[in-house]
Amino acid sequence: MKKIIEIKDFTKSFGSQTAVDNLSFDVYEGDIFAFLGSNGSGKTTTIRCLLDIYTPDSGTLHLFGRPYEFSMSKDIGYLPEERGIYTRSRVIDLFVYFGNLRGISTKDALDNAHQYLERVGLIEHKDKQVSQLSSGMQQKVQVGLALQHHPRLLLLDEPFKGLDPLNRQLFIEMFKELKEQGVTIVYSTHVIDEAQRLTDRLVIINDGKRKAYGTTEEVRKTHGSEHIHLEFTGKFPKRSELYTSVSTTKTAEIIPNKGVDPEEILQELLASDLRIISFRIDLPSLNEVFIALSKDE
Amino acid sequence: MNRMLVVAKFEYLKTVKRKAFWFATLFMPVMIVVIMAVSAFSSVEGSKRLEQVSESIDHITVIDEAGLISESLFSDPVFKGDSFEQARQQVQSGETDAVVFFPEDTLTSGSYQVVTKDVGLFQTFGYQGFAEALIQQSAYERIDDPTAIAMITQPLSSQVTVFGENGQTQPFGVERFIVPGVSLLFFFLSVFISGQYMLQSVAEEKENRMIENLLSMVSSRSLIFGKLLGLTGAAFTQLIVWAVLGGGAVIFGIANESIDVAIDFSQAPLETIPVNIIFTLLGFLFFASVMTGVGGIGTSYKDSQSLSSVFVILSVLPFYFITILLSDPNGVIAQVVSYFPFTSAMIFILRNSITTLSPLEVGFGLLINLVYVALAGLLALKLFNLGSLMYNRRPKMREIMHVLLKRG
Repeated sequence: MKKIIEIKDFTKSFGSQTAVDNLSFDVYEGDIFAFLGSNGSGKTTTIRCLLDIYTPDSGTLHLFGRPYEFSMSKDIGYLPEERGIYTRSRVIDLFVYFGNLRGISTKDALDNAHQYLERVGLIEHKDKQVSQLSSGMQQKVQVGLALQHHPRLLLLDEPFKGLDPLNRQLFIEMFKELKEQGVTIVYSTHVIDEAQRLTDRLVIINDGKRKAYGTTEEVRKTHGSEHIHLEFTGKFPKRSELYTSVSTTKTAEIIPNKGVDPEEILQELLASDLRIISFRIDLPSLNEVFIALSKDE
Repeated sequence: MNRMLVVAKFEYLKTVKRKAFWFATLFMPVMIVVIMAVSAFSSVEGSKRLEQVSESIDHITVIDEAGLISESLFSDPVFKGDSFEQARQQVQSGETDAVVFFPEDTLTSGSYQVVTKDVGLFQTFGYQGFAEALIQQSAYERIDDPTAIAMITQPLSSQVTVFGENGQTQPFGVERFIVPGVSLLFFFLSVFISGQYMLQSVAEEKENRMIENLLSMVSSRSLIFGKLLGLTGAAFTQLIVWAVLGGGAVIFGIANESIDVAIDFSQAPLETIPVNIIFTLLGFLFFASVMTGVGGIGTSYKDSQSLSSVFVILSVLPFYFITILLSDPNGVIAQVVSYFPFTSAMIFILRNSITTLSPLEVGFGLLINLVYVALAGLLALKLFNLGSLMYNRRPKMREIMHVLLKRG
């Protein structure tokens, strides 16, 4: 597979504080790639260095096989975490300005803008000042500025931050559609549940250091054992010699003790007064892996 | 299109489409003219006080062919003279301070002459006040004489000749004020108003969280220079509008005879205009660079505005002692503020317009202002890079100093 992003031995410090420490990972063409980490873990710094907004201290950061240069912005859509918009400009003027900055002609920028605005239901508002739009509409404009030029790579820093549920769903649908079109999507987040559903591959960082990296399944396998997900009626039995568990009145997530076969646990449960509705063996959720890796620190 | 030009075009259109831009363009000059009129009125009052100042001079010759001045008023330092030409030459050679000449037809023509060394605007006005005081005082001393009433009621105008240090004549009158007045007005309006646009542009971009997005497509250098270029264009648009409006008003006034001033433009120092334009441009670039740095480190537009007030005050400081500067444009104070970065361009414009600066001095002034612009631009870029992505807080003084002192 073709590498779209290649980061190798990358380090960045601010004064005496190391923000990112010797980080390495690759993103392949067509991937939806999640960049996971808690607040202040170094995600934004990495993206800023990748786009040459910050200068790295050491290491290699390549996009499309070479260091970033502004001419690449034609192929990249970037949505920063701290995003905003010129409130006193007309919607259509912003699309043309961003298009022109990416090296796209005014005519093409206008065509792209009309397509996008039509799609998200904002075409009637194209000549309005941004300040006249609702916050939900402004969010669509912000996202549109990153997507309007049909980029090959989308770099999204906390894309779900501040989105209302409707725009969030719209965004997820767009992710899936863009992936089908072959667009590579890299996004940072600390909303882990969403990442488990969406991503092909991921990296988890904590305090600027890589903690896990690979496909979602690989990371879940590598950093956790099999869990049993149970739905039941009756009284859930505690059997500490066989497992530990997190249970509610109707569900339980059972973590088998080392060397205990899940089948043995099933038999034990069937022998109890419990009425089992469903029994499923699965890997730990990405959320659990993420929390466990963060706790390791 | 080059990215810098894209930024310039966007900034230009964004600025000239604003209502505030046209408000400033159309109404600020009116306000300033009102302020200048009030100031001019104060100056007229001041010239009366200078009648006393003129008493301190060493030698003033009065030639009274019209026989208007009482003999009792001739006492040291006021001396009676016979030949206007001879007295004129004495002033030119620096032997005497001034000569006031009342020709035979003074009362019918309503005109007299003053010849003086270049002693600054207010002192020269003082000679005119002194001459008119002589006539009034003489009229009071012979109140029973029928000509006395004409002496008091006849409006008099003076033709003033000013000799420079080397004995060459210098213009004095409306012509002398047109260039410095208009130059300073344009300088003030374009530098301070357009400088504020720069502050607004950078600070709002930071406040609106747009900068990071832009910096992924264009370098900070191109972004700032593009803004400078676009806002310089906006400033020139303002200048053109003002020139058209001002020129139109003068032409309209002359055509309707509501402006009854005979302006001899050949006497105005028009040759200083190109240099004044360059100083205005340098002053704008310097001030806009300072505003860029301030906008970069402020947390919001309001915060940046309050930070910028320090630099605005520094820049307008010369207005507090404008009288001294006009009276003595080559004095110590004028020399000092000529080389202070925040006032240099403005003071050079003033001095270049009202006094004769040597080409060397003008050249050095341009060079030093160029250096100030380069330094301000460099520091502004560093401050912008430091603060533009620092949301919700200002950089600490330690961080600012570290960045400013860092090489490269």
